[in-house]
Amino acid sequence: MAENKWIGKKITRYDGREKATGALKYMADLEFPDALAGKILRSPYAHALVKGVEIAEAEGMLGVVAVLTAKDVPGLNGFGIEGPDQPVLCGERVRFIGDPVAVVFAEDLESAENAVEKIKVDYEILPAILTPEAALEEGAIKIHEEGNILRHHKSSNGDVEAAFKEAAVVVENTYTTPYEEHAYIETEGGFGLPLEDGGVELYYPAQYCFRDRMQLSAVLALPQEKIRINSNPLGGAFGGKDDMLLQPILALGAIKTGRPVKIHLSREESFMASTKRLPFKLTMKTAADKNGKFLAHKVFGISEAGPFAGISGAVFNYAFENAFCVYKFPNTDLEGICVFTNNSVTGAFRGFGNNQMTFGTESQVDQIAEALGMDPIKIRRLNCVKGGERYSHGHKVNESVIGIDKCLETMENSDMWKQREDFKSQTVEPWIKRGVGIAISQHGGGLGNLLDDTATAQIEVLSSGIINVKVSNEEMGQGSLTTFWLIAAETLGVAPEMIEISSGQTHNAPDSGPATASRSTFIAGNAIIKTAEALKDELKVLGKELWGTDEININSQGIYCVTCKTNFISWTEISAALSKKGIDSVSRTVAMPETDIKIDLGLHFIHTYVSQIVDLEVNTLTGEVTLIQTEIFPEAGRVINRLGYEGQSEGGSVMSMGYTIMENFKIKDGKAMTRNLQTYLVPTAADIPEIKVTPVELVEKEGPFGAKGLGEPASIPITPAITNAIYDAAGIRIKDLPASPERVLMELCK
Amino acid sequence: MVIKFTLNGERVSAPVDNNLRLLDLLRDYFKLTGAKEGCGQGECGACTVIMDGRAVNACLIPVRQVEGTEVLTIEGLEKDGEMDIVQKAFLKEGAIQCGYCSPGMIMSVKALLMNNPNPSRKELVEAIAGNICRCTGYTKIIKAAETAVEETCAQE
Ligand code: FES
Ligand code: FES
Repeated sequence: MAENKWIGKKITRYDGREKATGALKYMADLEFPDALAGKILRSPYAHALVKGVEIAEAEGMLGVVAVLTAKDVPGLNGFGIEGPDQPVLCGERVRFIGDPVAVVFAEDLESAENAVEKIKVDYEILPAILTPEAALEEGAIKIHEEGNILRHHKSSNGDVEAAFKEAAVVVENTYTTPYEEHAYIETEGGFGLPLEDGGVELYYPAQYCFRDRMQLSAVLALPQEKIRINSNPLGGAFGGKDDMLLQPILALGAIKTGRPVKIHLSREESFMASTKRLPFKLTMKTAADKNGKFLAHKVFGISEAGPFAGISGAVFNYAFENAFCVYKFPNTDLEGICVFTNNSVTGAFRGFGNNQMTFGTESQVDQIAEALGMDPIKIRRLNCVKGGERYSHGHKVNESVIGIDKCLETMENSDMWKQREDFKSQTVEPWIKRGVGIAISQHGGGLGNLLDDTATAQIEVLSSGIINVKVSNEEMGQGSLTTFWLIAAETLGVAPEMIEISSGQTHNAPDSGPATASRSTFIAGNAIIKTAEALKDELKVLGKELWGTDEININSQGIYCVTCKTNFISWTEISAALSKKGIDSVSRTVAMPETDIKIDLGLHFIHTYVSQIVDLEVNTLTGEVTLIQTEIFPEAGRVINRLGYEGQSEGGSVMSMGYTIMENFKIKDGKAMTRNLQTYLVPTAADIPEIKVTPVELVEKEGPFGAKGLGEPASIPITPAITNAIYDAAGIRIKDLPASPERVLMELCK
Repeated sequence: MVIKFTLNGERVSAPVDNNLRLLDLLRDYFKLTGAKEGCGQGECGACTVIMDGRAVNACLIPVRQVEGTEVLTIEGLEKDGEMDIVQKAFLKEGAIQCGYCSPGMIMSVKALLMNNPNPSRKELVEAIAGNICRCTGYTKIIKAAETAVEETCAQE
């Protein structure tokens, strides 16, 4: 393969300078003259009927311009990725503590806040469903007309019960995982602006501007062409800015008041209103023969979507798609139920349900290895799906499935794994126990084969000579702008400085799908390559027309004829030359490669694989777990930008370290007990271990420059690697997350 | 009331409402939006600026305490279009992802280096332990701070 000029190097990010200097304006940093401030009135009850909303007093208050309620929603009073079951403003019923009932727009925030206090809502309190089990009880009140069940999956293969009987070892456990709050440092906020044609423009950080526009069109009863959305940049998202939150209210405010409106949530309001990671309760029964070959895996799982479908059903499905991790189980039995409750709204969160499931399965695998006296890496290598084999769901996956064995092999040969016994003997205080644990994971790229998954890119050569590459996928910190930039430069054979990326704008980029599902690098990257190749073809045709030769080359200066170097047109001239031919821009669409069978879970064809080792200490007096070092081995195809690749691996690891041992979002009676960063503790610089990232680079033939996605995969294996290491250190098996000091002490005392 | 202070090297004054915070003064009056509000409770460090040589959470400083002080914000670090050593180090080491924490993070490192040009790794970590970054996992931020220390020492 020819040496790449930009791909695979350590490149300073595209948007780096404006971020380092503080010059980049995030949405809440923008300013629009005459903007009104908005404040939302939210339900204090988990479940209640709204009998009436009295706004007259609020409307009459100084500085108040508008008080809006359900009556003011011109179109459909509902939104949601799966279906419009979440009211913009609740007019009939509230379904969680924080559900919006009214909004005040005033000259300043203080006036808006004062007016909100004067709105009187007549609620009739309903029984609230506060646990998934309660949602399933006979005669339970229905949160939605269709009932309380959002998903019920059942599938099986072979005969698990027979396998359990003949097995040499059977391990059965129940695992629970908590809510997780995204805690992006940028809380939700932005602007709605009225447009002269009666339309509306939004400046709001979000992960898929085109889907938001489609949903808003129904809410506002406005054609999509009258809605413009700017969704870049984001101050972190991690799945938490996937579905809409304030967009409908801002759009409504702008249209009703005819003025720009702003809302920026406080941390407490963000915690209250935004989605959380789905909590799970998983019972797993797993069997192996005496040689460690897996025989059966049975999983029963229950989870809750909270009050609305959102994207929780897809998260739930995806968890079950990953129930077997990368392992081949000849006998399987899966059942899962996801229900509505009146607790916090849940949704997408980096890893999309896979973290919860892999925590369970990888805990099971370690216990089987221990029962058989087998090495934890060897048992995994023995049981992982091999190249050419089908997955346990029966579907075909890409040949890059051999990547998982490469991850395991590289980990087995690493110094950290070889020295594990030495580390353990280094601890001197008798109450400190040191241990080493491992785990693996897989993660599908793309939306899965129940949904169309395509992306379109567009390239326009500007008269300034700048090459403008357009894709909609948002930049939320993951570095997609940099990835797109390097891919475009490498494909066109020009310097990156010549390329400008437009993204996160419905009016200035084609639809390339959501910035989710670890798909941006892969699918938008492929779309850019295909479009760049098409542009090159056009330029070659142009050259041939001008100079009558096929020997045309492209570089940072422009295009030239190879044989007669005097014939040359520069990039500043190319725009005019192409328009003369009627070409203003070039655009191409690509689709995500799909697997061959469809079941209700939506299966994936391409996966990223990761293995990880964790070395930690358990203080048996305080219950505190301290990570000392970790090494992560991602097989995400070829590295596009080394800095971004390492950054995703380190960031994903630390984020999920928080999930595993620190973060605990508690809800009681539908009310968040953890209301801000004072009680919701996320990792700081003082908490992190030494992190080593060792890429296992196989070329992914289908991917852009051999690459695959890595945003989510890097957040998954560390959780079971930590709990497996805690077991290695202190002999306690953590089955309920987080492994907080209290939990660890409790387990130690058992 | 009117307060007078030095902002990024310039003498300035501003009419203010007594219950404002330094963060509001910077963002709303002076339009310096580099410092962000991530919590408003002193928990996240996104609002960090340097006041009389110390890193402070601008969300916790009432405006009246600003009178007569010297305040330095992220916007004041660049000199003649050239970024500060700390900013350059953050870029070079890949210490920035979404960038929302970056201005505060950079100011925390800068404050440390102003007082202690050759800090230990432990001192570096302590200096940024009040700044939350949800994206990077801190490894590259600590590396960037170390690079900044090396380059500061090399310059002297
Ligand atoms: S906004 Fe000041 S510390 Fe969070
Ligand atoms: S870079 Fe996103 S919070 Fe630090």
